[in-house]
Amino acid sequence: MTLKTKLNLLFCLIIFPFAFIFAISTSFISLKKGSTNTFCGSCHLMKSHYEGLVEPKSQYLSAKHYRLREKQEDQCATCHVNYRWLGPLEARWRGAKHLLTYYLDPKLREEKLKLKEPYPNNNCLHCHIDRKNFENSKAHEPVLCEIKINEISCISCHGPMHPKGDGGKSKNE
Amino acid sequence: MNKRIWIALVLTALGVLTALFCLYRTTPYTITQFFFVGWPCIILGVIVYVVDVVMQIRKLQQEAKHQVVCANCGHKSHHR
Repeated sequence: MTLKTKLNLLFCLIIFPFAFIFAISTSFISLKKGSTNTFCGSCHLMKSHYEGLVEPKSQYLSAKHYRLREKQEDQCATCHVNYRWLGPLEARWRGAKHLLTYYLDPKLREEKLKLKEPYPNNNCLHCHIDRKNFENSKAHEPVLCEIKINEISCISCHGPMHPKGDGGKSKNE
Repeated sequence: MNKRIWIALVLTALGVLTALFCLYRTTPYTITQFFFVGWPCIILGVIVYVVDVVMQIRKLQQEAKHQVVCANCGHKSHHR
């Protein structure tokens, strides 16, 4: 067996398959790790939101949801990943765009945190639509259709969701 | 080893390194780096390697076309 054949075998059977399997498994592991609250809170910009979420006495809507859940470690993803096919990948893509924007446009770093797109009601309705207190609520009754077709946003009445940089100490901001 | 194989090896190693870094410390920055730098590096490495193999095969085929075998002793030689 010549040196060239040995090298070809090394590349085809060991190096490239290893690199591919390693990269695929890293992708899955990193996507799983990327759904955790600590991951979201690891960005400096998100620190106040994260603190507002985990603070035991916090009155923000996100914190109330967090406290009521059994599985708490993916609370950020539960509300911010859209419930549709490829929703998790779409969320990662949005996150990557935020990161690129942060590094490429320094002016935006000074701006207040905001969602790039309106928050979809479907993310709330995914859990709340089956609840009796949602359907039977007198406040919801006249606008039920508008809520379902995303014409009226849930967060226009319910909130505040997150603190605006105070670590969840004040409620009415 | 020729230049193309070295390029393929370096690109693949770079991709694996970003993956290792991503596993070691999973932050938004390392994940983005892995998906936008690591994966393209691995894929490019494979493409460079495949191109090298194809070129080697074509070179061998070209050489084989010009090869003649002596009917008496079986000696192979190129005639141009």
